[in-house]
Amino acid sequence: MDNDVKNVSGAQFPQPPEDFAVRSATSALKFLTQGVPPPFPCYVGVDDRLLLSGVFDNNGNTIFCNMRILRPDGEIIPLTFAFQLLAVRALNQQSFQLIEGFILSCSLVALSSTGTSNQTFAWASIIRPPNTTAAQHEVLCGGYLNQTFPMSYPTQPLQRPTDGAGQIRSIAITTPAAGADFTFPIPALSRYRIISLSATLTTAVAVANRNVELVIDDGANVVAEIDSGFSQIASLVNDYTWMDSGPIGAAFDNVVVLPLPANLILPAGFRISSETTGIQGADQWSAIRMLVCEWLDLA
Amino acid sequence: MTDKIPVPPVGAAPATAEHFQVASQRPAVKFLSRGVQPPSQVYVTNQDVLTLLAASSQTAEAITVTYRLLRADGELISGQFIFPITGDNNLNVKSEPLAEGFLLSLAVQARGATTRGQTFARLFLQNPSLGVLVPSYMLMADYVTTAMSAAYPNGRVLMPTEGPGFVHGVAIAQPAAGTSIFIDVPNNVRWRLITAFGTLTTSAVGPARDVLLNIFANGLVIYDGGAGKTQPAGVGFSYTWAAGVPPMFDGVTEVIQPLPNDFILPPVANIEFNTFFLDAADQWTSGAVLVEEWLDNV
Repeated sequence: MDNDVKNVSGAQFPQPPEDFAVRSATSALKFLTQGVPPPFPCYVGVDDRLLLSGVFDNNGNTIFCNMRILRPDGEIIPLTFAFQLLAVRALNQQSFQLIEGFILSCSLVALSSTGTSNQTFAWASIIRPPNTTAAQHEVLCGGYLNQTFPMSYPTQPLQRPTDGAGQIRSIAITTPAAGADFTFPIPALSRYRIISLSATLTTAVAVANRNVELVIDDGANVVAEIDSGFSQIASLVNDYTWMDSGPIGAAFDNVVVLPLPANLILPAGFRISSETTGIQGADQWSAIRMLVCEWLDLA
Repeated sequence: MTDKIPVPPVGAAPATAEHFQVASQRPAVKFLSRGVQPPSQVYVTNQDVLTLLAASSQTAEAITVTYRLLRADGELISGQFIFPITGDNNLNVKSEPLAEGFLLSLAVQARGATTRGQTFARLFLQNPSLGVLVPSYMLMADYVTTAMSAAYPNGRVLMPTEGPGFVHGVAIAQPAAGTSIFIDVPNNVRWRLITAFGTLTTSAVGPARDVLLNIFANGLVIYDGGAGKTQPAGVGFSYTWAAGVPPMFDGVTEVIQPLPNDFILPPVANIEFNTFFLDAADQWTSGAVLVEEWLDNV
């Protein structure tokens, strides 16, 4: 590609059309080159604004929205909007003024990497005064974002937050104080499918049988109790693993394998906790991890 | 551009046009700026009305529909209506007359629903002369929520039983002493039953109690699950039925029994913790189910 020395910008320009002459048979149809109707139907009125909305689960991110607008004077204007997501697990929104014309394309891409520990869901929509969330009158594109594969209008179907395969994550549950059970509340704007949970109980020298069960509640009502059926004696390090549709195994090599309900999906506010009957003051739960599949369920 | 970017002082007149010249190559294609075709496939006749069919399990629900219509005279107007929805899972219908023109876009939001499975909306154009609630142009059908407003275009036309549902725990009303607990799947709702839980405290008298989980659909037993362990007098047992788990009794007070995986129950199915030899002073407490819920038949 040669540079156009007559142009002051110094930019690279495509080859002139004569370099692309067609040697084969030409088509019978003749297309308009003058007075061409705008190629896409998304008309932006004089009052319309772009609303960018997004949520993330761990680390803040910046969303770039790249847009091309065909102005009424026939000029195609490329626009880039940068939208910072600052509030974790909350709906972040920012609106931008647009110009009258037709949106030819719009894409959303994340600046920072997203992945197993940093999901980002965002969407672009058109709003009118009073520019509130309820004034969205068209959603252009949206979905889970990453650095390389943008969500785009008009080529991609709109994704909703609970769509798709979800993000597989390994989550550490806070180690409780000695003599206490662990508990994990499903965080705000999230939906978890619990695949497995593993934890270690180290019992102190105090003589007693400790009986462990996993309790699932909705914040108020218990919906399941999965008992280990195993009495852990003093001065023993024992691992417990609960897994989707697992067996109820007898203790072997200081490991007890236990079931979780199949396809156990828990929304925000639910809790998953241990309940250890006979726990002693110096007993310690540790190395508590869950494997989950997560969606950002942000309404 | 060879010039420096101008930085006008405060209060200065706008920069001159030459600072905003497009310096890259100009396109050969010239687009229409007058006599432009209406940018929509949806022509609205004088007889057409915009009809909303919606159902919700959420009380105090309302649906906001916002649309843009290009009138026949070329004027672009924006319209909005808010329609309260009963939270009883029954269908609500609202029709909004439109002016002749082209429907450019339309979006739908809920006031109460925060996740899929709670409030379902279906929007279409309808010519009343062609029949009651007969769509002439389907615009969208999907669950709607408070933040993201998917609709037309770029939205989807789905059945209410498609996609992820509303996962939640439902407490079972505590019965009087001496009676078993039960819960019904609500009307126009489909449940995936994930777990069922309850605690039975037996009085000091009588024979061992025998607990079963019975599930009925259309009056017929479709699941008959025994506890695998009788409960003697004067103790408290907790019972958990859960999808995909093996049966187990911890030898003390905890009973676990399986449910089928992906156990989908139809509307008005009945879930009962039936108890044989139940004494008048026995008490069921803390009953609850964990379900994934979709609206159905709406």
